[in-house]
Amino acid sequence: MSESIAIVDPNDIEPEVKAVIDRMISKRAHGPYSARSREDVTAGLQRLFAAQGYRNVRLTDLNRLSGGASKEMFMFTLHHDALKEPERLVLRMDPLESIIETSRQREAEVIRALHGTVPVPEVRYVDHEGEFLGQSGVITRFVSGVTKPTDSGGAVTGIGTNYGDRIASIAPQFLNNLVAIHKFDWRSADLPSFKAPTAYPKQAALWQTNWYIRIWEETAPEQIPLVSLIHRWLRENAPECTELSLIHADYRMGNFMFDEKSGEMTAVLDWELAHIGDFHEDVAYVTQKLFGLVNEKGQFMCCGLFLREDFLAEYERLSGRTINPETLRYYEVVNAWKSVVHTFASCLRVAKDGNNHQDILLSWLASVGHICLNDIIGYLGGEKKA
Amino acid sequence: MTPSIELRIQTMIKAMAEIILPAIGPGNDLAREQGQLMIAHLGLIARQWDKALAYDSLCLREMICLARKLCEDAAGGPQTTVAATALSALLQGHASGGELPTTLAKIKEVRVALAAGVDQVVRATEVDSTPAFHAASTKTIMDYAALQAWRDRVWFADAGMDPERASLPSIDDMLAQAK
Repeated sequence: MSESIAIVDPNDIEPEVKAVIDRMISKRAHGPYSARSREDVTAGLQRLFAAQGYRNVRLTDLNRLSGGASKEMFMFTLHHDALKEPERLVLRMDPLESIIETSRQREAEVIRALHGTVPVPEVRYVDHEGEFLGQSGVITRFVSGVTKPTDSGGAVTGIGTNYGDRIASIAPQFLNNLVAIHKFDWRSADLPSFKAPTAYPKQAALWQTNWYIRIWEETAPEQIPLVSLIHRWLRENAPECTELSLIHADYRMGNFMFDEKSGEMTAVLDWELAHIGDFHEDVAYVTQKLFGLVNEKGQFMCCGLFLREDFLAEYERLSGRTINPETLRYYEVVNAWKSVVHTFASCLRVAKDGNNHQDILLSWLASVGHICLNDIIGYLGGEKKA
Repeated sequence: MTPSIELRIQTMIKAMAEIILPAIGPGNDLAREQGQLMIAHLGLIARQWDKALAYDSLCLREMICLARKLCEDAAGGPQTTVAATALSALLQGHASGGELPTTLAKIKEVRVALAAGVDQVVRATEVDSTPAFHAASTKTIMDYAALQAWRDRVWFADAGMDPERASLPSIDDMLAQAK
């Protein structure tokens, strides 16, 4: 494929991702969606475990979990004859439509592949087609820990979390795990649902932009002039990628668990957006304004953990890689714009259609898009109104 | 006399905070989170509802100015010309400083149509606009967007998610600045 053709081909999207988008469009008409009842979830789990050949299956302590803006989540304890000890498990299941549509199969593959590289929950069962659960789902072993300090108030998880004194212990682990993900040998890993953007040097960038432009075009309730301009800029300024890495694509505050006493990170979470791409994408994501906070000294802290300059310098030192400022800027725009797509397109559309179990959260999160648009104006060299 | 919107929102918040939320069991975190979000939404609505028409009118007026400037500057080949002509047609009846629709629904309808027209112009600039209009459209939209993003951030500052919300004025001050 020649580069000039690829640049104007909006359909050049990673095949599995494209399939997920097509599935999203076909199923959204089946709404509205209601939160699954305990009885319904229990019945689905019973079907799943019966299909495993387990006998005398019992499910206890089944509780719905909060946190996250995309999946229905439940924690429960599994008992059956072949288990010596009951097993505490977490179910992540698709609602009809959510802030981002992804594949539970890909999520399970990448978590399994990363086992032993960074702390991840152990994947125990996958029902990709929703054959037993009614909706696509993945079940992992329960991991102890919290995603935000219990004394940090009722803020939405992942936005504005203050880690306080725990920064000293969490920040180095956060960075080391990011570097480990980027050094991971994805070429040798068992990731059959993933494809690498190797057809031409700009494909890593354009797979991302084409993916989200397609979501915008299929979902946004109305156009926004700056978004129209961003789409043009993204196509015209896509950088080349010379070293492909595994990208988490949602690596930020709120998406890892830690032990409150020791500060030890117990799991990196939310792998559903993982793909093969440019490491600048994850580095830029950590620096996003939305996921940081201004500390008591008036300094902006990336993910509540680092000064921006410190984070970038330490990433380069630990990874041995050089950050290209222009590529970093491109992905800063990409990441902020992806949040715009999530909020102004997906959140508003899904909430309006009633296709999620937490429409009220989606309509609340939608206002985040304005913050991201403001950030993009700065990245593109515009003069933000102070 | 009828119960005011302010009073009804105030009583809903009180019921949620004092009766409904405390009744939610300790194992139902999602219900508690959604209850807290209801209180937050209601509080935001209480501060916004009587200013919504003024705010949406201001946003539409700015969108009209943006569309007009793009039409004035447009230069290029057939696609740019067609898109600019279509946008210009949408602007008919919206003279500078003229009357705006008086309902939120109608304001939204006009805004959505104009934004779609602007989108078509921007798409056309990728195909056959002059380099000068390509650059001019960038500056025009960026200038518009900087003001609009600021206004929108002010409008939603009380949601508490903007890391720089301390630097933002009140909604009343933002609306007053536009007059």
